[in-house]
Amino acid sequence: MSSSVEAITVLSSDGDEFKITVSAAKLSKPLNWMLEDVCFSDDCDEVPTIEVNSKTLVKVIEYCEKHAPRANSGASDSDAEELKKWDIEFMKMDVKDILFHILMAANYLHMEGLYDLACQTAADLMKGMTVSQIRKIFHIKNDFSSEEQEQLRRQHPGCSFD
Amino acid sequence: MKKEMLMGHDTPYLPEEITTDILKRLPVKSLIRFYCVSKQWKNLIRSPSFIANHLHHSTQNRPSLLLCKQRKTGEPLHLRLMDCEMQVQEIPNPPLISSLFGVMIIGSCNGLLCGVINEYDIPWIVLRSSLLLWNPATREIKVLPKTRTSEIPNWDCNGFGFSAIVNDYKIVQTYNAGNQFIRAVEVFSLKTGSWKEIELGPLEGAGFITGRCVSANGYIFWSGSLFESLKHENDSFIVSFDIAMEVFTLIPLPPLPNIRSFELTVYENKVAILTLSKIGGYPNYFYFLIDLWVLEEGVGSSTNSWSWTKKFSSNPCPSTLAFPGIIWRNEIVIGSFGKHRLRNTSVGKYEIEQENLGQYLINIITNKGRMIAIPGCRFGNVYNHVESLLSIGNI
Repeated sequence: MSSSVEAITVLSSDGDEFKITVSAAKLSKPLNWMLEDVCFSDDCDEVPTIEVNSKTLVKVIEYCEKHAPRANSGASDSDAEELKKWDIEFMKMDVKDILFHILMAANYLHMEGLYDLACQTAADLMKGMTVSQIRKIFHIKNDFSSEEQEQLRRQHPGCSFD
Repeated sequence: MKKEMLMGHDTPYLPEEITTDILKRLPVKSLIRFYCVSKQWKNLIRSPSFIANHLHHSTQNRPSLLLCKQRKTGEPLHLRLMDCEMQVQEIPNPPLISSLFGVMIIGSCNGLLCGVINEYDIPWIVLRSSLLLWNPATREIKVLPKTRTSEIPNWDCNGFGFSAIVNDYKIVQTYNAGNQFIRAVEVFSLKTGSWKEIELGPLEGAGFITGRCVSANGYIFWSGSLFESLKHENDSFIVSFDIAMEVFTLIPLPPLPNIRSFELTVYENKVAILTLSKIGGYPNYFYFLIDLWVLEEGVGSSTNSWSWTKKFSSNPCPSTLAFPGIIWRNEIVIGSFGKHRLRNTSVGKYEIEQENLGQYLINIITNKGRMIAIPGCRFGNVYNHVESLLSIGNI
């Protein structure tokens, strides 16, 4: 790999170009493979496409760039503390808006840290949601018959289908 | 497009694998609420694989402390749960427990509590006792069938644990029948739902297994003095019970000079002991040292090659600490009944200031001490606990 390469260019699924530094790309195995491909291939002009939309990819790259120094060199406790606070701010997003896209992207890009963070954020948001709100964001229909609803209510008094 | 308009937003459809990874991070209370989302979700949340997945995640990431308020005989059970963020919540007693005179917790394992119900003729005189299993998170509760010997009030001790090898929870009960020697041992299997009597093995001719039990890695352990009839001498041992094989083994303690007392605990899923030892004369008279010894290998094997490793030695601690102690995440949790409050001093001794009661926590990695006071909770029993969806009827 040429030491002069510090960043690579990737395309989002919408066809927009994004730059990601080599050290940040190391947070994702698939990105890292792409990076090696790009750097070793004779045809360096080819720009790889990442199957993540632009809006989501901006956030994913932001996460990578922030976490790269720590992931590559380790960090002190105070850095870890600072990063934790940053993660909380970073994750202040609406589940309807982008969170599930981030989850899908983190899963696809094998980014364990971001995936765990997004799962926990989703779980924390869901704690405060009603059953019908949950159905909406997960695209689920209430398929219980009225008898089955009655039976569940008997087993779990106070449970709500709304 | 029409569908998105109906939904009002465009969250992507998540594969079940990702949905499961989100759901396993939810508390049991929310998951039970989400039974009502759909049949698929209900079946998913109730599936043994999800329950195991959720339990594993909770054990790794959300270990709690169960605080059992010290009470007089006959007082109702009073349990609280403290999570990793130090938030304390009351565990309501189910009607069955409220209606009973005396219930005592024996142990907590994978979210299930095992308790003894004592029925009294007159206060202090136990007429008979029976056992119950209870999952406080799902509020499921079950009284176990009586045993052949349950009419004999003089049972010695109980133990409760899980073995992944046989995927079963078992309860052990020993009887001394008013005599100091153990006469019988019975084991209850949650899988079969019944009791059976087992061989005494090395407990033959032994008595007085005291102290509370701990369970780790498929074994139940008791500490205490075994009184061997032939030798007429007291000797401290640890008794281990292999839950899968249903056999007892005696394990010698590590060399412990100057020990005031010791307590069984669990460290990284291995049996361990916490010891309190004296430092010496004045002005150290009021201080003790806490050591942590971990049994590394030889558990349950016939080789008797026990290997104890000292994992931790505390700085001098005030003498106002009292067992039982347990290990919670990276900290030793031990009751404090002192008149003082804790303070780290420059000389490395933990000082306790006036008028504070609660639990005293010593970090095994940093050797720093801190005090937590939980209103209304003094130096009662403390257990490691984890919230789970485990159903008592469906093991």
